[in-house]
Amino acid sequence: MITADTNLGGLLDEHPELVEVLAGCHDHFARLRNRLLRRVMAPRVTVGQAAGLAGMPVAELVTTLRRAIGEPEEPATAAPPPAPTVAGSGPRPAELDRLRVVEVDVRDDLRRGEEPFARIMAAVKAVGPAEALVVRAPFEPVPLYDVLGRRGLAHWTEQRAPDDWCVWFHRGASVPAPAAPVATPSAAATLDVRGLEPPLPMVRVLERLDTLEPGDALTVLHERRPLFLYPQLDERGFRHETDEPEPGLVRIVIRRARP
Amino acid sequence: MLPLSYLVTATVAFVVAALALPWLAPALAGHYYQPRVLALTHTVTLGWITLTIMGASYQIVPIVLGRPIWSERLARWQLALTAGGIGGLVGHFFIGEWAGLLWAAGLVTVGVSLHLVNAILSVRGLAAWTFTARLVALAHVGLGLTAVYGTLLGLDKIVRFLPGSLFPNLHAHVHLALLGWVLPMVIGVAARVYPMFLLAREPAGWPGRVQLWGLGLGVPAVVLGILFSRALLAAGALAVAAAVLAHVVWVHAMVRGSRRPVLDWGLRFVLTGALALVPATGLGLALALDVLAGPRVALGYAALALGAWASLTIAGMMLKIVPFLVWYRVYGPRAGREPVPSLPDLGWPAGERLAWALLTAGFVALAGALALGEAMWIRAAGVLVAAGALAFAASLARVLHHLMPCARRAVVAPAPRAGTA
Repeated sequence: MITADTNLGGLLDEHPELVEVLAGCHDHFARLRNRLLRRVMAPRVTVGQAAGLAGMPVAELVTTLRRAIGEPEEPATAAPPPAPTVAGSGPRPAELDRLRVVEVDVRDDLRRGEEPFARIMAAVKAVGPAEALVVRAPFEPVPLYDVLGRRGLAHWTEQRAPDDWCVWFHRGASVPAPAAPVATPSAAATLDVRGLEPPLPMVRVLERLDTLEPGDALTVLHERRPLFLYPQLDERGFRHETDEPEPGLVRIVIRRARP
Repeated sequence: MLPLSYLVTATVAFVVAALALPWLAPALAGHYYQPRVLALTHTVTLGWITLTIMGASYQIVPIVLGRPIWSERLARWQLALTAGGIGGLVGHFFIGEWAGLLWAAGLVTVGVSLHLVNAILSVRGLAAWTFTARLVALAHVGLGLTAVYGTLLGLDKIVRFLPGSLFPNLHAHVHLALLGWVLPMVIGVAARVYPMFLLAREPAGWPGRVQLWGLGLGVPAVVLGILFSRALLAAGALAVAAAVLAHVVWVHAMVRGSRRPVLDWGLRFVLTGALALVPATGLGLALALDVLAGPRVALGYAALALGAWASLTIAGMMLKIVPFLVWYRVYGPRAGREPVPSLPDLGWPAGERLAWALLTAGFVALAGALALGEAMWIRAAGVLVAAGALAFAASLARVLHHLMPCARRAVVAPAPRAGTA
């Protein structure tokens, strides 16, 4: 019988027709029509977490699903609602201000129906103790909380717009203070554009540079030297330095010149 | 705009060659060594394939080698000389006028020489000789030798001096071009560019060594074997076949590791081309090992190699490269400042799908019809290829029209899909 604890992946394997039922419940679930996304995302979520993700009562979703496959519509067994993760539900941890930010924006990946999990996990591997991985998604990425929580990463979530969720993953209370003082968080921002198809890396970088203050720096992590980005940077008055700290990783530090 | 100039010129050559196919069907039903068939072959090999590779290399080589090309001005002169030379070559082949042919071949050789100078000076001092860099270098050696060999063949028409009979020299020239220039360039660039488009890991491991050694040893063995020794030819053909197989293994691994949920039509072209490489290699191997023989099989082999493999692969790469070039020129300066369209917004998937279906069916049918030697079937297959080439050109034209100011407004302003932010 379907409960709030039922794993969504197993449920959809057994009853693939429920994809359409879910899609009818909330637009977020329409993404499950994509087989790849379904295979990657659904096994990491329970029905209760899915309800929280869509912002609907758990009991209502359980009842809807039960009705669709002919199960008795009893009240849902007690299950804890999803953890309060929405912006404002908890104060912003102070240590986040001390961390270097590595941002992975997967909104376009999801809009195109592409699976962003591998990209996020690649970025997770590179997150150091004094860094925070900031994932931006068009919905609250609930499945990631468990997955990255098992890797020792705490999270803090803020919703900037209905389709713009920003989740900070960090090493929690064990975050050490940086050895050298960092001027401001934005001065040490990092943008990871690995795994994106051209020209998205360039678009991401140029969008981010638009908000860069004079004197601030943006560190870009790339798979190759972005030869087509450099002329754009030069034309817009940015200074840039490139190095290759390891094979397959190119790092570009971009600074807006002080006026 | 430099790579675009090459790619547009090459596309014109492709459309001309494809439209000529139905018309030349009676000639293609005969032996391949006749003026009009040679004119058609050089329109494809030089006008379409070589100009595309040269143009694409000015776009891709800076990415894969991590440095800009040495001189854009030289590359512009090179295009004018090479394209003019190719026009003269094809025209003189068509009318069977050998003295004029020699001048045109010389012009092509000068153009190729300028390309080689630009390529050598671009890679001068390169620190990391990667798989791609080595194969690109190998391909340019093959290009230079092919151009020299072709010019000597033209000169031999006027002052006979080349040793051996005509056909071994002709076959050696063809295979030097196909295996020494086109094949290493395509598989070398593929190793770096396919992962970028497939969103897959860059390939590594033993298939890379097999490709390098297979081509490095196999191509000279095939060319010398055609001229002097059947045993050497067989050994060389096996080495090249091993390299091709290793390339297919890599492509398969990249497709399996791809994070793309859906393949766009450019990638489908490229992967269909890689698939066609298998029967083309099988047929080439059968010819080298004397399992099959004769001009009909040779023409079928040429259709598979130049059409189903090289043309589909190149068309696919163009459908990836041209939208990027146009996007970079038109929308790159606006990115980050205002909403800009994504690459799929520039393309015409319906036209690309139609081109893929017609060209794939057309090249397979053409290979079969040429092997049969029936003019009627060759004409029918030629109509398919011609229609596919027109659909392909229309798809590219749809992308290129974004260079016009009215198209930019249409995409950026009201379209709801606009904006990658």
